[in-house]
Parts: sequence; C-alpha cells; structure tokens
Amino acid sequence: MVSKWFVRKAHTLSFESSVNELWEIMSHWKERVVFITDAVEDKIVAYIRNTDVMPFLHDPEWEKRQVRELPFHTDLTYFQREADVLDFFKVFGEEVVLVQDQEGKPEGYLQREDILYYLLTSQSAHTDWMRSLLNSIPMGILITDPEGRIENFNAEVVRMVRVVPEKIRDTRANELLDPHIFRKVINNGEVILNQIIMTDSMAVLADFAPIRDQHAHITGAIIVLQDLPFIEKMALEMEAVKNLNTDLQGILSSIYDEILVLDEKGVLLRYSGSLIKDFWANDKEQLIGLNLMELEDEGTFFTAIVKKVMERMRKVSVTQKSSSGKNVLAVGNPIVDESGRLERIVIALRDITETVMLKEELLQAKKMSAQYKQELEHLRDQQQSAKQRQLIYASSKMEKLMNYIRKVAKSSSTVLLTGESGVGKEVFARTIYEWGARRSQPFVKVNCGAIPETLLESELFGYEKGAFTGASTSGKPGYFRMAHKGVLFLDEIAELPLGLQVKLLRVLQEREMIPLGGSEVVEVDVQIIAATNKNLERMVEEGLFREDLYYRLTVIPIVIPPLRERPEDIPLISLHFLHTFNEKYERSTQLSQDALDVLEAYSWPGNVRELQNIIERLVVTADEELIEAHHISPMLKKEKKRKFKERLTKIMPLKEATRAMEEQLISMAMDEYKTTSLAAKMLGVSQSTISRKYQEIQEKRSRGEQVGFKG
Amino acid sequence: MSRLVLKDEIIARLAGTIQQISCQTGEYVQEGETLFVLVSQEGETIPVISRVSGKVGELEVELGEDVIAGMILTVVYME
Repeated sequence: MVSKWFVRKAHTLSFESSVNELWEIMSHWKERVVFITDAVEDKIVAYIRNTDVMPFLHDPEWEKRQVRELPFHTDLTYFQREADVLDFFKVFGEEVVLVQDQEGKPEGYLQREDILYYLLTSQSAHTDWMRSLLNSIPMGILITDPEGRIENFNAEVVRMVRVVPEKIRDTRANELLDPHIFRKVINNGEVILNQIIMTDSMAVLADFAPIRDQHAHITGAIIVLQDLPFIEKMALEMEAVKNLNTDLQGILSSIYDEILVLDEKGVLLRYSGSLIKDFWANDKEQLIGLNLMELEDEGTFFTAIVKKVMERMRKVSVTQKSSSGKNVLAVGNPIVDESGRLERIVIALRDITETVMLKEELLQAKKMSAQYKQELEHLRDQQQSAKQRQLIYASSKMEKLMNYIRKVAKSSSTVLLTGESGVGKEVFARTIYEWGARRSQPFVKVNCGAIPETLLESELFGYEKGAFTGASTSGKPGYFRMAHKGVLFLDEIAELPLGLQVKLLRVLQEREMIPLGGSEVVEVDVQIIAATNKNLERMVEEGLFREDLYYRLTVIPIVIPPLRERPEDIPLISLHFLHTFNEKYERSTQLSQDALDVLEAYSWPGNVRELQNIIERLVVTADEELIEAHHISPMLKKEKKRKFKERLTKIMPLKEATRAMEEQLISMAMDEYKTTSLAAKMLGVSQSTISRKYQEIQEKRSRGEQVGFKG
Repeated sequence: MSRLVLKDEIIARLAGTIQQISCQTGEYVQEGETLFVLVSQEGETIPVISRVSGKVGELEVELGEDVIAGMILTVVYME
C-alpha cells in the first residue's frame, strides 16, 4: 500500500493550454513533470518534463505556443494505490508512475527516486534481494540523513567513490561530493540533476533529490551517481560522430551543389549544401519532412525522379532547365538494405550550366572546323578537278554527246547519267554544272553508296535544332539545304534505300521537304543530277527501284559511252594523263607509238579510271624515259583468249592445213601483242607480211568465214 | 598525354516508352544516327539521334521501359 503522504500531486493541463501556463505551474510548484489530459475522454494521456520545455524558451514566440506543439510523452505507467513491494519492483526504473485508486481514477504520481527510496527503506522480507538488485545496477545510490551521514548505499558507490565500505559510514556525503549542492537540496528541497563532480579519486555525474516525511519535512537526500569516465566516453563517441557528420556535410557540399536524402516513401529527411532555389517554392527550413511525391501537381521534376528510382530500383539521371535558365543534372540513387528493400533515396544535383555552355561552344567550334575543312577540301577538289575535269576527246561520238550536254546545261531539269564504272560520270556532272546557270551556286556531291543507310536520311534532309537532345545545339542542314539554288549530284543513286526513294520523290515533285524531327516544310530549289552504273530499268522490273522515281530521274538521260567504244580518244587521254603525272612526280616520260597502239587496242573494262591508273603506275615505275609497249602489256588485264582448238581429226590437204595454222598463229599473236610490229617480231616475219595477212583474216571474219581449222 | 574525351548525353526530350534501341554499348556511332525510338504519351514516334560521332557508353534504359522527360538514355564519348 502506498501511503498518502508519499504520492505527489499530479498537475494537469490540456493540449490546448499555452506553454506559458505550463511553465508557470512548473516554476511555481517546482514541478519537474506536468500531465496532459484529453478533453474528450477526461483522462491523463501524456506528460511533459521541464527539460522538454527549456529549449523552447529561447523562442520569442514561445508563450503563444500550445502544449500540443511541445514534445510530450505518452508512455505512461499506472500503479494501484494498494500496491505492495513486488509492485514497486515492477515499476522500478520508470521515470514517472501514475497512482490510481480502486476505480482507476488518478490520485497522484511517483517519480523514479520515490520508488527507489521506498525500496531502500522498506523493511520487508524482500529487503535482501532488493539490495541485491540495487547492487547489480550500474549506478551508485546513496541515502543520507539531513546532515549528510550515509545511511544506505549500494556496491557501485564503493567502486565509484573509491572508499572502502567500512569508511563510507563514517563519511559525510556533503563532504564526499559537493557541500554547496547538498545544502541546497536539504535547505530548499531542490532537485538538482546532472552535476559533474570531480576529485582526485573520482569523477561522477550526480543527481540529488530531497527525501520528505508524511509532513513534507525533509528527512534526508537520495543521491544517484553515474560513472563519469563511462559517460565521458559515450559523450566523446557522440562528439566524434557529430564531427564526422559535420565533415561529411562539408565534403558533400563541396562535391555537389545539393544533396537530398529521402526515406523510402519520398519524405525529405535532410539535405546538404545550399539548395538550388529555382526548384523550391518553400523556405528550406520547411522542406524537411516534406514528401516530394506530393509535389507532383507542381510539376517539379523531383517527383518524377523519386517515382522512377522507386520503380527501377537503380540509378536515374535527368537533366532539367530551371526557371532562371540554369541547367541542372540530377542523379537519383536508391539505397537498399541487406534484403534489397528500399531504405533511402539520395538525389545529387549539380548546376551544369557552364559545362553545357562550354560543351555547346566546343561542339559548335568542332562543327565550324569540320565545315571549314570541308569547304577547303571542296576548294582544293574544285581546283584539282578543274585541272582534271577537262573532257578530252577526239571521237565523233563524244563530239555529239558534248553538243547535247551543252544544250541540256541551259536548263535546270533533272539529269540521269548512266555509264560503266570509271567513265567519269562526276566529270560530266560538273561539266553540266559549270556550263549551267547555277555555276555560281553550290555543287554538292553525295555518294549514296558510301553513307550508311541509318545516316543517309539525316545527311540528305538534315535535322532540326535541338530536336532530339533537348540541348541548344544547331541542327544539321542536310545536303538538300546545302545545295539550295545549286546542284545536288547524287552518285550511285541505285544504292538509295527504297524508304528514302519515296522521300526523294517527294522533294523532286513538290520541291519541298521536312527535316528530321521538324514539323515545318522547307522549300528547296535544287537541280538534281543523278548517276549510276547499274541498269535502273532492270532494277525497276525486279522491284528494287521505284518506277515513279525512275521516271522522275530520267527527264534527261545521258548515256556515257565506255572507252572501248571511242578508241580514238585513248591516245589523247593517255597523253593528257602522262603530262599530269609527269608534273606531279617530276618526270619527263614519253609514250612510244607502239605503247600508244597497245593502249588503244586494249578494251579498258575499267574505262578512263583504269587508263588513268595505268599511266600513273607507268610514270612512277618507269626506269627509262621512253615507255614501250612491252612495259605496258604485263599491266593490262589478260582478256579471254580466243580458243583455237586443233581440229585435225582427219586427213586434209597440206596446203589447207598450213593456211589454217598460219591464220591461227597470226590471230593469237595479234590478240597477245596488239600491234602488227610486235606480232611480226614475235613470229619472225616482216611487219608488212603480218599486216597483209591479218587484214585478210579480218576480212574473212567480216564475211563470216571460219578462221583457222574448221570445226 | 591522354586525350580529352568529351561525352554527350543522349536525352529523352519527352516522357514516353522506348520502342526501339538501335545501338549497343561500345559501338561506334555517327553523328545523325538514330540511337533510340521513343513513343510519346501522345503516340508520337520520336527518333532520338546522336548529334556527335563516337563510342556509345552504358545504356541506361531497356526496351519497353517508360522514361521521363530529360532522362539520360546513354552517353556518346566523342573522339
């Protein structure tokens, strides 16, 4: 049974009471604890300590605050008035215990030291094991009379104050500890907590409280001691953690502009560094505790990042432009526990405005440099091709073709150049451009076969500024826009993928196009000159080339004859190349008539390009200045030799057999050596003989007669 | 002396779903090449193009994944 005098009065307030009222009760009654009642249920539901209130006293507005705003404690322990010693043991260690009557109504409360005092002074059967219990706790407990004589103590006291048990009873607590504090407790009834007492032999943290009798007279003091080195160690550890935290904050602030730490639901727990203000409508103090997922309606990108990190459970990097034009990179990372469950989300933000600007400038500079390089190459190319562009011919076939081209060049109609590989289609295209009205405008060459299919569309039609990356880089104009008002030479047009053929057709028909990623139609005024060595008609039949595009391209078809069909051009072209390469390699080589004959007699499957290459090789490798036929022959591709099979399967007149053999030998020699002089040399007869006999053979052939042995 | 390598982020301009991935990590891509195809929430098909030539870095998204506006899909390391 708890005696009435032992129970303290429980002062109560409601949640709506002001902090001022609370503080007045605590000051006036010297109460460490005030209870809070629930207005609806009319019962005590929480309590507040004076130490909970103290931090708020610095706030100038504290008086106006409500009790509800303070940190209160709901962990209440109840205790029946009829309780015995065992019940006291059950609540031993509790800070505050509410005492109820039989009907459960509160009669008052007990503090921790009240329970301790009861247990220490109780003369019951439980006293021995109660003492054992007190001896086992890691705190020193002393009971004294008003003069400081030590009446009771536990084993920890002996260890902490370093005095043998026999001497403790002769020692006064006020002398052992702090006489000034002890006097205050005894004289004024004050409870004094957390006093550091250090002497040569001990270092303790002491709590002092008065002991009162049933008349509220002070009959002594209870002193609770805690080992200071232990507390100090803990404090030092806490300080170290605090310092580490400060260092970490400093480091993080230096590395990134802003770091946000959120819990697994998206609630902002803390941030480091100064916030990038553009993204926050609220003051930074108000942001702690805010769930960023709730900002969805405000359109902030944080919500999207948090959502994405939660969904993917892996890193998410996002760039965003702020309201003031800052470029910000935000990287969201999930932090998971051992079981893989999301624990935290860390979002690191960095202002990358300068980096983006520098990158843009660098890219721009690179593009400009590439453009200048291209222009320089174009100029060099023009210079070079102006030298090589001369169309050299003597044949009537070419004369006729050039007259036709002169007429064609006057118009801006689409031209399709066809001819075998190496006939010089680009030279013809440039000639049309040079002779045409667009010669002061750009000539842009695109090799449709040399650009990867994935790139061809953007190369031809370009793409819009910042259309795909969100960055403010300039787009790409594309070849069509580059050739505006000029000529676009589409070499190897047969290589154009079917998908792009449709787009090209649209440009040819409508004279307009839409760049990639763009939405606006761009008008283009371009003359198209297309070229191919493929048979487009056959490709149309095979479904490899669009018929409508084919007809759109063949407005003016020009067929360039292969070199073998105009052999009279070969000596002239050969001498032109000889002159060019002599200049280039600083040589002064010449071609003998035999050499020219060999060149003229050859079929040139690789056309002018092959002829050019052979002459270059001859100029570079020639040991002597005069290039003879025998220098050339090994370089030419061996043509399929006419097969002369011996048909001597029966007896025939000797004269007839001799003539057939002679025809066969002369034909073989002419196929191999091309000229009558060389063939004569090889067969060991005069050139006039060979010349005469070979002419007879040719005539026989033209009459359709068999040469050599009859089959 | 090591050469400065500039990286260019490939960014989804709009929120949407990755419909096509046309590049691989380590692959060399050309300026103007389509690396991803995105279908926006409005159903618009948007090619995401590289504005530089270089090597593709780690892919940050998978086929069919929803992306948010401004999200970095990969980076291209310019030479």
